[in-house]
Amino acid sequence: MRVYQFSVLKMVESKVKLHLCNGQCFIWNANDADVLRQEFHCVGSLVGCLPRAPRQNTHLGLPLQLLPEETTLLLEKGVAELVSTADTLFDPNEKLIEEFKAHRKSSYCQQIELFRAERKKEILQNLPKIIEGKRAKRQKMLEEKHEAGETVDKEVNEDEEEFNVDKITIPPVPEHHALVQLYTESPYIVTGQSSPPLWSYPSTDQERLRYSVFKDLWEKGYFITSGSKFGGDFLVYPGDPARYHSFFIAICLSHDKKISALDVIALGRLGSNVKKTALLCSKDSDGKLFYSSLQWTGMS
Amino acid sequence: MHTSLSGEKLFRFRTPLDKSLPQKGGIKDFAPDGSWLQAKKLEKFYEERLQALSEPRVEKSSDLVKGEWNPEKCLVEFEKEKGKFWIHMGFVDVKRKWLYPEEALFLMETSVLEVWYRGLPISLQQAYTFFLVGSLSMEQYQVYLHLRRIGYVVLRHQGRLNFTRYEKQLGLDKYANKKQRKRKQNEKQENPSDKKSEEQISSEMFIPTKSEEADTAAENFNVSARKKHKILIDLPCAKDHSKENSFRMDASVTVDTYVTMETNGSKYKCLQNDKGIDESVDITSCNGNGDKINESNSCSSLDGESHDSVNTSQNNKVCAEFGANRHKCLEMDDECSETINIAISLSKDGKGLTSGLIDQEEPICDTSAAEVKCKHPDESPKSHSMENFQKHLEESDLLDTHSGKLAPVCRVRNHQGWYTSDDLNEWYNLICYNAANNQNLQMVEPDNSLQVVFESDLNQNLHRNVIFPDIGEKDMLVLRRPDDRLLPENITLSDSSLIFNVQNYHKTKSKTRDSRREQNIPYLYELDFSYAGFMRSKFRGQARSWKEYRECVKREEFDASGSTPVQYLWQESEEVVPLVRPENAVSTAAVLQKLQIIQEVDVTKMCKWPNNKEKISYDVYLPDLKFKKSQPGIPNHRICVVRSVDPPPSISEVSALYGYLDDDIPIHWAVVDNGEIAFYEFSPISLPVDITVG
Repeated sequence: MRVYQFSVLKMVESKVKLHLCNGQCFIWNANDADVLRQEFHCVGSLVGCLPRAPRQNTHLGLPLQLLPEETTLLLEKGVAELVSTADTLFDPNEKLIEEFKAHRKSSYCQQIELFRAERKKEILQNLPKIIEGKRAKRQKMLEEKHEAGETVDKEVNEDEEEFNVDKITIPPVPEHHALVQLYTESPYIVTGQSSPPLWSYPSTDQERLRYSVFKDLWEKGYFITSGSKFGGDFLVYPGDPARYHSFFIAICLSHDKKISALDVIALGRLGSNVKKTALLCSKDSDGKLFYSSLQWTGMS
Repeated sequence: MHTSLSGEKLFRFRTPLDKSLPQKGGIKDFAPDGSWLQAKKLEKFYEERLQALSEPRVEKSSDLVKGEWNPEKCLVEFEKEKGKFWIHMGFVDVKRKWLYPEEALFLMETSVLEVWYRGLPISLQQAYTFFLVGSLSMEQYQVYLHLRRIGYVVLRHQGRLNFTRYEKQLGLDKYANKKQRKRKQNEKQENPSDKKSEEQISSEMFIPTKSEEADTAAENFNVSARKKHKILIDLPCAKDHSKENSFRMDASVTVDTYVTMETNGSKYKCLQNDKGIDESVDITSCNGNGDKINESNSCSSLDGESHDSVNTSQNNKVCAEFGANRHKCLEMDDECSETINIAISLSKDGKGLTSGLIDQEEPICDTSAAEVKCKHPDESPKSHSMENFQKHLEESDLLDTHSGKLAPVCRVRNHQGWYTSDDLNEWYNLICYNAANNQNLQMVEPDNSLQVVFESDLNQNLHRNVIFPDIGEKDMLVLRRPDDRLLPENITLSDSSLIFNVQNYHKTKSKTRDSRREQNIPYLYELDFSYAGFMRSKFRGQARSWKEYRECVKREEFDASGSTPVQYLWQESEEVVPLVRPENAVSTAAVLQKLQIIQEVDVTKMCKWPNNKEKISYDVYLPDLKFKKSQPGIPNHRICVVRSVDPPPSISEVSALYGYLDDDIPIHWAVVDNGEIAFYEFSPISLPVDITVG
């Protein structure tokens, strides 16, 4: 039996949740993304819009999409659990809606006081100007009265000019001006859910090869990202990709696959042009991994 | 881990804290060396990144568009749009506003839209699961998002554009939509004018006194001159008609006159007199006919009457009439009967044309055509002599008024003139065409040197008088002054304009003939050396028919090609065949073509029907303030979305796609690899072939 609950407080630390959506894994929590990158060297790629500047392509935001190899590895290491986001497709019960409404209401009530406090602060900041203005107004009024032939006691009026900020009534901010949150990560917690979804990567020989290469390099401490930028399987970085250039372009080849000399030349040429080493990775029948690098040199 | 911010926290984001973008990490180092500096830099990077990522989306409630997710339709319905996205997103269906899931997702990501479902707002995370099902894949959405983020207008693919190649060549495709709309508006505006009484319209059309109308008429003429090929297209029909009536007509002659007419700058060739009067067999009938015309025309009272009657008839519906009979007086040489018959057949054709146009907009044409229609069947165009024909026409009450004005060069009136059949055809076609298209029987040449007005009235049963001067054996010709009533207002003819210099006219004519002969000298004959002997020599054999001629030529060619000393090589065995034969040596290009064993294939034409037309996902437009989603126009790009694990498209697929879409809009293949997108384009090119001679 699944129970839905609206979360207000930060939950206790638990495993990183990998949300499976249409066959791909996403991280929806910034802290999770940070932990994966810092502690588990899983870089992935951000695919969403950055909330503060959504209309540009250089800096992206959540969700973070993981490579299938990364997902498999994290599951294998037991630091993450797979959650099907299909489970969050819910049939909301009355209780949940009530909870949500209560939350919005309390949020609004809090904001009334906060907006009021801010308004008060603004008034205090501008107090000299306000007093100045009031005085000018009063002066004008007095002059008008004077012209009309009335006699006014100036002394009394001077005293009245002192006014108390606390006495001013500030109307509450209207509800439609209240701030609301557009949820990036789902705020509805599902507990007691059914068995975790299946994760079948790697399933083919090529995928198995890719995974074992990925795992081997990862265990050696490298950061690994997708290699499609350079036409390889992976790009291998010595440290965080944000700070260092990649060393290798890893190309996964099955052990018995023949490759033509032209391909070798192309890879060598590519590696030297982008100042990286083309790394041919293969696994023999005993499961041992072989790496061979290509270097294109001109002899003169 | 899931958190919903409290009011206090939300309040912190009432104004954007930091709009600046986080650093990407700065200048990269080569490799980690364990130094403190590197660690510090990395730490700072992580810190900034976490801060940027964990920033929530907070908006003022009133600024948000609120939508409702409809899982059956896979669409988001909303009531009131805010901001500018409605210009190029969403659609309306029965007064409800909808957004496609990718559009809704994008708007959610840019903090514009809040989607609700059963009383609760949907988070972005849920939306990814809910929305990206069915037709929309994650890859497609990611490509959409990528393009939208950088400002492109992206619509779902709308299929091929239905423009013909001709429209595209003229660039009409860019304006087609606008034009259609304009036309509709015009139709609306014209409707009241249609309700105007016919007489008003007709009087406007037939009174050639207003100079502005002359201008419009000139425009009309220009149009007709440009569209001459259209008239020629009609000719075969006419030919058929003439065949039906067992008469002969040479269409090619007509074509020729068109050409000359255009090259001569539309000098009225109709005035040329190719044949002496005496030569013709039908002299008597011709002369008699001419006399008759003279009689009828010289009768000034009748002329005046006719004019008056025209004027009066303007009040009672002047009908445009372009029947066959208008040529009655114009034809006097031995070809007259033929010409007339051509004219008849043409008129029938023209009638067909106009009757085809009736429904659309031409009430006057309608009536006249109908009248012609009802009267023509009675008429049998079998008369061989002019006289008979005229009688026939008189009997059949089909006379029309024909007042011709050729100003300022010549005013043809009360002169006997001769037309060749070609000229007649030409005139007739112009008239017909003009009438059929513009209903304006007034024609003004572009340079205003020639103005012809045909006025006709069927109902009034009047005469016609178009008389062309005889310029045979004369050096100078003084044209008779036209009746002032037939001239447009404010136009006075000087005496000098009435003098027609026949010599000059002949000179310019012969000059153009010479130049034409010069042009006819084929360029290829200068390249004698590259021709086989048989191609230089003229055809000497005798042939009675084209078929025979072709056979003869073929035989000669074969003889010529056989005269080589190594012929036995390929006569005995079939295996050895020369790549190039002498007769192939028509030009360098032809020889190269023969030598090119592997022919270049136009891949776009190899396969016309793509197997999966749904392959293209998006039409992409550059951001434009004038963009309208109801009339998006021609996309700037088209996008196919593929995954990096998918095999690349085959050449046949690519070519089929290009061939099917048949326009020059580039198709990009967006390859999505775990969130990273790269665009590729296949563009067909052909290698250049160098040809120096020939």
